[in-house]
Amino acid sequence: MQDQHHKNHHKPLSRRDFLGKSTLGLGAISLSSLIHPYSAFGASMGSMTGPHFAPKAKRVIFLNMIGAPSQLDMFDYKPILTKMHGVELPNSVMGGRVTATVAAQASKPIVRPLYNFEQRGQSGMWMSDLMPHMGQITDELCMINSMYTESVQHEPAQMFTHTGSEIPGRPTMGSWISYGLGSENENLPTYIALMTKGNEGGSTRLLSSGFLPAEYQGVQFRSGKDPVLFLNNPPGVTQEIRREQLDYLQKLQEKNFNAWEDPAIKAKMSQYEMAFRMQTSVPEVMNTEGEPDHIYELYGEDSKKPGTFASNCLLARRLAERGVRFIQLYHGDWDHHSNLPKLIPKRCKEVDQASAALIMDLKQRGLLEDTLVVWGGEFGRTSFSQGQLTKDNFGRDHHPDAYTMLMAGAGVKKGLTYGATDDFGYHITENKVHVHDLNATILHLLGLDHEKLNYKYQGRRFRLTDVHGLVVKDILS
Amino acid sequence: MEWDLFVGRFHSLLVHLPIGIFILAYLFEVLLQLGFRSLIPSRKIIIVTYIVGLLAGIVAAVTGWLLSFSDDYSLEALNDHKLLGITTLVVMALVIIYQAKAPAHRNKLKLLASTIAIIFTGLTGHFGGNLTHGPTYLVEYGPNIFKSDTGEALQTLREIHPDSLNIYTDIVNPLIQNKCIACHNREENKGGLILEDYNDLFEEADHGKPVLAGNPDMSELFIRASLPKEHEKVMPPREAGFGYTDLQILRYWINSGADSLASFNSNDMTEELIRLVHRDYGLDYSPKPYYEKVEVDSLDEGLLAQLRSANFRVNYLGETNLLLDVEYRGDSIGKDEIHMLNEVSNHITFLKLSDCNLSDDLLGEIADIQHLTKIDVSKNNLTGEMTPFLTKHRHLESANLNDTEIDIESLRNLLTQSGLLRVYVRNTKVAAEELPSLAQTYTEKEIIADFKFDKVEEAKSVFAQKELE
Repeated sequence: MQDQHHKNHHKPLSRRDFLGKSTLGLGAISLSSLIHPYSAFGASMGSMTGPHFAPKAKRVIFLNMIGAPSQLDMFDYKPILTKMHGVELPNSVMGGRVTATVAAQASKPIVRPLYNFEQRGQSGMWMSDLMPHMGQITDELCMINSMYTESVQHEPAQMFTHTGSEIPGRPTMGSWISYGLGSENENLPTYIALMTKGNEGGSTRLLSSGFLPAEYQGVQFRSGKDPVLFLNNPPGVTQEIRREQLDYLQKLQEKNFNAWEDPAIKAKMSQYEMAFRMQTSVPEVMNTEGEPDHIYELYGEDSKKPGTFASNCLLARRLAERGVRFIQLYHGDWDHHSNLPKLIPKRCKEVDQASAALIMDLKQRGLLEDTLVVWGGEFGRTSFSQGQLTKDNFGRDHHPDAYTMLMAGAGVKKGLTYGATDDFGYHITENKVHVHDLNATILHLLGLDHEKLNYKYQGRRFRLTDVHGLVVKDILS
Repeated sequence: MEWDLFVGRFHSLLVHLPIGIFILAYLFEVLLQLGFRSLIPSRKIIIVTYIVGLLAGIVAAVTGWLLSFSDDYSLEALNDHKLLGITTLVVMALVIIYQAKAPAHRNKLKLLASTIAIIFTGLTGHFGGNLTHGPTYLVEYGPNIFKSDTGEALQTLREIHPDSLNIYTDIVNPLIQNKCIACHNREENKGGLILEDYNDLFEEADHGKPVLAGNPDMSELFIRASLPKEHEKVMPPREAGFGYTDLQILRYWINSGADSLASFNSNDMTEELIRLVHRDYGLDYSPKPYYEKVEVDSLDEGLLAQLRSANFRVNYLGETNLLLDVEYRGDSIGKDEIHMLNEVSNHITFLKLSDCNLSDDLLGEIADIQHLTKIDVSKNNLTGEMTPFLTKHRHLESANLNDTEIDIESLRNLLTQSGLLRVYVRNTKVAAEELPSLAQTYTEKEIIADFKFDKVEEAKSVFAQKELE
């Protein structure tokens, strides 16, 4: 267990800290513990505060579709596109916003949705034939068709979704949540990422804790016999030897810390201890051999192959069962600038059944009551073809002005289709949801006030939602 | 027939005639002054036009005088208009005399006199317009510098947090400012009614008190505002009236005592009102879950520390919500642990005792947990015997009984519990075939068991479909 008290008070004092603390410090501390009985015991497992108010969700599973799936072929049904297939997208619709990649393109023909759409479930939510399994569970989903973001490029847009800033360096959502809520399982990291093997999509930059202490960083679990790199003891080193070694190292580091008072030393030691415990907890959670056949059947054939998205979904459920706070899955190659008709069915097949199975498996175990599942990419795609539209081929360019995200689980309205776009899926016409709004809402569901969850760094307070974000109350159940 | 009022109402039609003619004559005069001799060869044309205008003005004044006998208008504002109208006529008559008698070279002075008369005419017309349309009518859609800020107030409701909303300040008062104040202000208190301040709402007017706290149906404001649009007495008489949602809010507010500090309380709002307020103003007053409504005292931290050391995970729900979320994390729970739990039972709302060798007997040892809303006793050797324990908790919403030995009879028993919303019965003695009929009987409850997908066929893209054709 890490020593929060120690960390806060043995930090090297800057001039500014000294002035601040010497005037307010002790009084403020004793006062705050009088007011909030919570904070008197609150710091279990590195949590700063615990939830601000009663949470609906205790954990989040974020299914990242890296590269931006085409919302127009999967979720946001636009029959006009079918009627006007091949016709030039009117300038009046575009309103002057065109990305540089297609600005030079002489013709921008409208492309119809590639697959048939149908209203599914009692909710009548639209979904295309590309997602036949998700289509069966629409009554569990909340579909937001009015998402919008800032950047038109992948890296900054992904960074923006993760950290609320396009520029790397800020903590990601998983780190903020770990920092805000702490762990429910001291044998596993609070924030774990799983990436599809061979199609990772995301980069480890997206797991950074930024200026938050390093223990809130996302830990990537890999498929295969070495889920966490360098976790296993080298040949010839037994568990006992390792323990002895760590104990001795602890003594040395303690001396070091007393001399330097560098909090990074403490963070490092707590990570070593965590790694030691993970030597037994990780193999246990990553070994899915004990799962019955009907569970593999639920997640689909792929789930037996380690490293697939389906297998990662199954692992995500196992991690959620064990109380991991934030589980981030990545699946890449959604960036279909060309050849969309050949590529999108493949990606959908890889994620459709497993995503739906994850939600329903959580549900049948009672875990969906306090687990929030989020599904989506970093932006959307255009309703006109990038490159030439032939009789059986086309592509779609990046489109940050309108796209779709799905949510399911704790505290979110079921079967709701929220927000709307114009007839061409180009601009939002109703209930805009900015990325900051989505992030504020996710924190809200976890019992965290996005304006209060902040961290002082370089003289100012930072938060996940920068200085923006409104909780989307309409989608809360 | 009231001939005076009948003729009088033609005033609003006839007044435009003298104004138009005066302006025309004035235009002629300006042209003359500018040297358009070929267009206006003689000043006589100007004088004749002014005279025709004056005659029309007298007709307008007479009809206006007749109209003033109706009690449609407040006396004060009416007097201003009347006085100004008569003055205008007199001024105009003097101007005409001056135009006719003064020497020809006094052109500039003549124009000055006419200008003054025209200004009088314009002012009279403006005051008259204010009488019928209200003082805000003219600039209502103009730039903001002309108006008070009340009209916009309702637009900002979406940014107010539901808890800090004040019904009078944020909704009722802006509505009154918007719909009523034009005629019912201190200057122009039509019907003896003033609605400028909160206190005015309770002052006796000609037709009774606008607001009678606790009784919307006796409150004149609510009665008149809720009349059908065609009704003779509906308020406001001409402009768009109160919307349905606004009327319901007004009704709620008067009903709850018409307090200037009143706010919405989801406990006594009708479902309809909750929906309307959400739809039109984006304010969410949907009822809170039970565990957010209950308030409990803080606990002895020693008890919590004791629980933690006995392998319980214990958390408060929030900084200010002191209910507990408790989970036993050991492999095997015993009497000692249960008794420890009993000491904080009044604080528990979520309880998870999963996979820990919990037996029916041990469950029986658990004290009454009055605020229990969610329980998870899955993966234990529990039987139907546990139902009495579950049913005695009337706030229970969710029961996870997966991997227990619960049978269909006990489940039926449990489902009669009115507050229960979700029950999990995967891997139990309850057969899958029984579930559809149960779901039909208890439509408002979710009975959750193993999930299976329907078989799906690989879909064809529209291009592939075309090839097949």
